[in-house]
Amino acid sequence: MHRELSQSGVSEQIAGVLKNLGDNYSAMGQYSDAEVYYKQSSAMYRKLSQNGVSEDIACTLHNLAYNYGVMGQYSDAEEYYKQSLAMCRVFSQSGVSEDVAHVLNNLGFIYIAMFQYSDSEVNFRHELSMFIDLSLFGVS
Amino acid sequence: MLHSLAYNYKTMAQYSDAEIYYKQALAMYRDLSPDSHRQTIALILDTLGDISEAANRNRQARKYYKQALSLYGQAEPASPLSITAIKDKLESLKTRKTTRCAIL
Repeated sequence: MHRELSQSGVSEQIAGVLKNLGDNYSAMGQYSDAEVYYKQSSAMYRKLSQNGVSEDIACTLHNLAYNYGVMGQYSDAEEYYKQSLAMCRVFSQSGVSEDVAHVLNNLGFIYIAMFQYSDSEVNFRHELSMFIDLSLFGVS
Repeated sequence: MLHSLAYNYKTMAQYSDAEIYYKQALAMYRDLSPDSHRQTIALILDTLGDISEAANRNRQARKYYKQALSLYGQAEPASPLSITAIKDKLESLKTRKTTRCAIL
């Protein structure tokens, strides 16, 4: 099974490396590159998952949403935070978990950012660093 | 933390969405482990205060700001800037008159 998966270029390890590349590019400010890697990573995690749901997918979608937020693409950020939120709820106890709380908090901020920082990445990043809790998913 | 939240119908719709998610996050953080999320909870209360103020719900805004102030006071490391900012907000609420009718 593993050999089959790796031969087709799909494995947990590769998906993890792609996500890390996304994190690194995002941290360096190369958001378009980060977006590509996050999308490849989440697609691969989906292939490996049952029913397209896993904690790894939730994490990658969260980081993709964050990346869109920094890029000023708030509608995309909203969309992916919502997908991540739904998935985090699946893995929580009755919908309550640290992960769910983090994503709710970050999603709330996106609606404020939608008009507050329409053309100001600098301000967005400044406020973001105070508002958004990044400790969970390892984005720095 | 967010200054002078502007008021119009489009932004109020977005604030309503923000408020919905912040309230859920707040309840969950309080439920889970309020002590280890003190700073985050204070920021959420601060923001809910801003949203309430923008919607002319001044009494509610004051309630949120006071709760946030209390938590900022307990935060480690201390956040004197946040404390000053929220004291200013509470002060300006005292003189603020409700001039617009908010529809949410």
